[in-house]
Amino acid sequence: MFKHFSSMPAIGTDSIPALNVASVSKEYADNSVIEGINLSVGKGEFVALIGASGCGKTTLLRMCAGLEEPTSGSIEIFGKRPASATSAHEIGVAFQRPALVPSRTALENVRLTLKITAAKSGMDPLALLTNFGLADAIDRYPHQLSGGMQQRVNIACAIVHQPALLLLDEPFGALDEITRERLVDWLAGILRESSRTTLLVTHSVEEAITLSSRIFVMSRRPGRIAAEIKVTLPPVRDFAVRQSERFLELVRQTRDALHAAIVD
Amino acid sequence: MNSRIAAPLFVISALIIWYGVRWIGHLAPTVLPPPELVLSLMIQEWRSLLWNTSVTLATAITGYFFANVIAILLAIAFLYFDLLKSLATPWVVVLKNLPIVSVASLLIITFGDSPMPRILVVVLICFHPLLANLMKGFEQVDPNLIARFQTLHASRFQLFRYVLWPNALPYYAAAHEVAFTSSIVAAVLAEFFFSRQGLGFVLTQAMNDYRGDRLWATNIIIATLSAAALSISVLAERLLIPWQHSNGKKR
Repeated sequence: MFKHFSSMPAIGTDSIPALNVASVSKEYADNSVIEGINLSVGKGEFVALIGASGCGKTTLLRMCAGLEEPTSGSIEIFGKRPASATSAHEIGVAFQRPALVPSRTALENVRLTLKITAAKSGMDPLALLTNFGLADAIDRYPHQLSGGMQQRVNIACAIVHQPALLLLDEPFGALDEITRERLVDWLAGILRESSRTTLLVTHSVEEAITLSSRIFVMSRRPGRIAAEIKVTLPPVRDFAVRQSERFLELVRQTRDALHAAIVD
Repeated sequence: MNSRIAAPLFVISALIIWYGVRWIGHLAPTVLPPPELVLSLMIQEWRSLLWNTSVTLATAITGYFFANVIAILLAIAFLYFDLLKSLATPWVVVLKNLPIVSVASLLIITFGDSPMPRILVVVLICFHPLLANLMKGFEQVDPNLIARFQTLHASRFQLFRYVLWPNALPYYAAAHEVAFTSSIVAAVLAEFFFSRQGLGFVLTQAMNDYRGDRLWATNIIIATLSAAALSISVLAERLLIPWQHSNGKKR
């Protein structure tokens, strides 16, 4: 049996949560995928969602992105339904597999996001890609980029229009360990600068602890929130912090919660 | 093999085979004339052959143009109107599988002695590979890409212009290699049935007159036109989908 966790908004945030998931359930043809999910993310927070494969993490993220409707319950993004947030271009999404237009270069892909959203306060695509370490690759097509480079372009496309909410679905899941570690560090630095509200779905405990301020652990299907773990670490989580006793303690705590969530 | 030597090698090998078959088979000139006789006829009758070639090309190109227009419009209509797709698909299948011989008589009765029946034959033969490949291209889009564009609240037009159409282009380009060369064959075939001009008509006349030299000359021209159509298709592919031919930077 699991307690249904209703999380408190982070201290110092606005009264309207950036993302509020209230008693959300999702069924496909009598098959319950997630059940009674409650979670809240404050403005500027980075929150991770972790759980076993098939527990409904991606389904929940897709509902937050407005790609699917919950069977019951509600999802609000800054007080709006996801469909309204989408039409206001307030959501940015990066999936595990980079979703880049094959016929456009890296720079053109990022520019395309601005063109579609007609963002008035978007970032400069060239500066963004340069900041992402891709200055030499702006004229390359996606098939000419490595997996890590494609994912950086993918994330650039997700944030160039300055969305209020960033949804990341295992963005580094398909990459090797070294590349993943480098990109986690890189992403931490990028998002720390912008204080963007972010929901990260991941399989990796270390990734979740390195990037987020709170971790929600989901049970196996039908997925529910089994535990919420506050990550009390310094904002900059470099190699030294990742070797600290506190970090390792959080890893143990999260793994224990995961095991408990799967076994129960 | 280097493409520069492939063509001359092909010509040389063809001549060797040609002379070889004549020598081994002792074939009469009406069946397999010597190459020099065919060349001589092509030089003597160049005006007539050029005129008939232009008639066949005009039929092929006109029919191919309309085949493309119909294929593109149908593919887009099928993409957005499922009911239309369900209703029209059986018709497409029937039209694709109808023997042209059976269709020819219907066309000539309906349209009489005009270019229309010949153009329609080209359309009927060419539109299906174009339509089928376009539809496949529209369907084979990465669902993640569509999902991302949906989260950006892209309009239907934006999704079509930036995702669906570019995704279909490689499939469309591949279809041209089949369809464009087929347009030449289709035009010649149509001229067999209802024409008093064009390369198909010249073939018919040559057969009736037992003129092997004219038959072979016409076939060489048809083969050359088909090879040119294939080369143009390959060039068009490079123009349509430059990103698949880039060597590192966009040109």
